[in-house]
Amino acid sequence: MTVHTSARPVLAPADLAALSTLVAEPESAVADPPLPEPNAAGVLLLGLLLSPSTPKEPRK
Amino acid sequence: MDASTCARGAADLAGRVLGALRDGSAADLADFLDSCVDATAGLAAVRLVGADVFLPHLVLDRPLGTRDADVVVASFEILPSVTAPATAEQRVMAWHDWSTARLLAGLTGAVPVATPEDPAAVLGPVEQWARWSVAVAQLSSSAHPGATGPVVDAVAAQPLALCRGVVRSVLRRDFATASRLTRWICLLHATGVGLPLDPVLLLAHVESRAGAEPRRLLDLAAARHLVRST
Repeated sequence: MTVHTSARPVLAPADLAALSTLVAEPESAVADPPLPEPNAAGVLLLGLLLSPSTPKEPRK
Repeated sequence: MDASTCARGAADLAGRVLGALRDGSAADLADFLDSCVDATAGLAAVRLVGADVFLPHLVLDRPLGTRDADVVVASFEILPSVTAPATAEQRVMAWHDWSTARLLAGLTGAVPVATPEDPAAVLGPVEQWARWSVAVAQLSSSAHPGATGPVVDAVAAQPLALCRGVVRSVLRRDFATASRLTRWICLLHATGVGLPLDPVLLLAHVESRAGAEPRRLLDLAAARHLVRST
């Protein structure tokens, strides 16, 4: 093994900042559970009003 | 240093550590570094995986070879630790490094390292348990078998906040954070801290949903070992 025994330059502060960002991994940007939509009731009511009427028994 | 190269290197290294845990061998850090095209990114990956590179030595009670110890020392030489952390990320990095350096000193018989500032500075107020638990998750490599220290003591003193945090992460389906917090839960369980949830059931739930990212699998492997050790 020779790779890590050779002298290397010390990395810049920006590199350490980049590494800190990787270490301090934030929580995933997953949305919180869905919240109830206040306007959904109106949409549902409108859907009911616009829905086709109940089919009638065909005349014989 | 390219962050994505470093992240890929860390995933590769974590995979090697996982393999070592399964096979009962050593992670062979020197071989990992030799396999890296960019040695600097390889050393940064060692720093990123942090104390977890020593998991095979802690779990399997294997001695740390001189070559592997040299790799960790070189990773600190190329990227010196933050001595006066100013940002939240730097505080996390300081404690992450402290955990690595402390284990290295313990395994090599070197001089113990100085402790960073008060852990409350990195974890924040426990009343804001959601934010507090995210900071705890970021320090998951400190939750290894036999772990002690100021951060471990601070987390062990707040089992309810930790449980709230892990349940929140599961409900958010953030299984990366859930994996890291489950590791802490299992550490507290292993040290006899009473918990209002079942660590074994939690671990099984998270394991089946955590995906295949090697660093998360390493968190869960550490958690599994902690549960088995009780």
